[in-house]
Amino acid sequence: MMTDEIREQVSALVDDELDDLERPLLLGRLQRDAGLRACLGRYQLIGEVMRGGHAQVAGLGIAARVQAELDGEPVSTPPPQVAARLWKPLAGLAIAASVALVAVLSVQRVHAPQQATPALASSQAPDGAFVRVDDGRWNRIEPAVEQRMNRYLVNHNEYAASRSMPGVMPYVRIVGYEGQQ
Amino acid sequence: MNRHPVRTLTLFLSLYALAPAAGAAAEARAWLNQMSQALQALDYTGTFVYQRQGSLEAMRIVHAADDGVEREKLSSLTGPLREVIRDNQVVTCILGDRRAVMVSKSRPRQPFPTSFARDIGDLEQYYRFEMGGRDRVAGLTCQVIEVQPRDVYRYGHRLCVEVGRRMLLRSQLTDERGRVIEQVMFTDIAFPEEIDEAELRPDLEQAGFTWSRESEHQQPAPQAGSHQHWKVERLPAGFMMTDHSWHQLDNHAPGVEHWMYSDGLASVSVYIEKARDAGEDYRGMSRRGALNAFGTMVNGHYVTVVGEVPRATVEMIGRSVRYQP
Repeated sequence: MMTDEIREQVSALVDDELDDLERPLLLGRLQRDAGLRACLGRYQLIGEVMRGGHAQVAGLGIAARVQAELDGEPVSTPPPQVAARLWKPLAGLAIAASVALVAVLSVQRVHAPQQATPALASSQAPDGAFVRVDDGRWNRIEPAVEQRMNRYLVNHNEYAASRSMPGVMPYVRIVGYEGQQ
Repeated sequence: MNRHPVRTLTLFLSLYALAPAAGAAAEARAWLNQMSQALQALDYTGTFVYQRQGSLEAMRIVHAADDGVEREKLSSLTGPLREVIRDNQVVTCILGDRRAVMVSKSRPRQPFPTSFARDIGDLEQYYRFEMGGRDRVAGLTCQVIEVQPRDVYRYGHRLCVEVGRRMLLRSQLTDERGRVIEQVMFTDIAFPEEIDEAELRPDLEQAGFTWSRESEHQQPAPQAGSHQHWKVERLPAGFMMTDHSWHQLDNHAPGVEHWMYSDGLASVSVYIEKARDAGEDYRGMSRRGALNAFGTMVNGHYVTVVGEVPRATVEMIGRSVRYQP
């Protein structure tokens, strides 16, 4: 059973945000838990693709590759055709990059692979298109989706301002400028 | 007579020992209350920095309060010029780099804590309120107030509130480990007697900009029984529905149904809008500083969950949205 807390930690591992105490604990757990390794593989894959296209390292064998890294073994090259299938729909997102400099919330539109690979789908079905993306890296987004998100964000701000911790924060995220890629 | 003097004494002593902590929590909440009033009632102009992972920006705010009517202007000082101007009628976002203007209705602000927060019982079930030390921000002495979440489904706040006027000078959002996710900090602030009208007007020339506007028409109430079709099956403890409404946020866009949930401090919105193409793959997760969003497709509708809450929260809520015909 994977709790949200564990998932949070796996994600933190991918982002290199775990501290020296947490890291060995999680790595130990990863060695024992195949489901958790698959989850890590999925996050890494998504993280790599989002961070700018190391798609060639992605693929079926990522969970095994993580295992190899854990064991300190050399990493083998995964099958390229899987990576190509994943990368193709994502490549389209780059087209919108030039118009994506609005510092408003946007949902990264991600296509799950049509035939989910075992590694991607081992613990969760194709629904596993859960994406973890760092600030400033994911603002490649279709204009229609972006506009919709902008509307939601402004609307949410207005409602949230009367229901939440008061502050000057809400509109800061709209005025703020998403840094150049 | 009291047959259990020791027990009574122990009880008395333990209550006495607890009192300072309870007193500090009450004091922290009183400061937050006064801060909330100050933010609404004071006239102020200032420059602040906004920091989130890997980025630092500077902005200027002008806030005026006349007979309870608030007006404010927020503008960027770094990067492209962007402005948000808000009064008691509308919120206008002018995005210079996008040559776009978005106009939407403003909603009345309520003082903190809202009556809602009191209704759902004690916020202290979900957050710890503590008084910190004194600090100095924008040249003014301020009191640190800590609000720490008791679980992983909400963020914490570390605030520094000016000792004199109770103005918020620095606001940090923290994750479950107390690390700062984003912060706003004044570098300079003034409290003028009066705010010049011109300061609240937009600086940006909007000729040739694309306008989008929230529909002026009275919105129909959500269709009777629609809440019986859509169901959010999982919410973190303490979150309750506070609003259910229907908006037409852009006169060119279809309507969207909106549910709002709050625990009294953090708010999460669920937006459900009919998809243009039922086969469209609308799925994902994103983050901007402390703001997280989760998008998914349910029964031919875009389901989008947005909130100033951790990823786990928007994801949990988003994944639990069901349609029942």
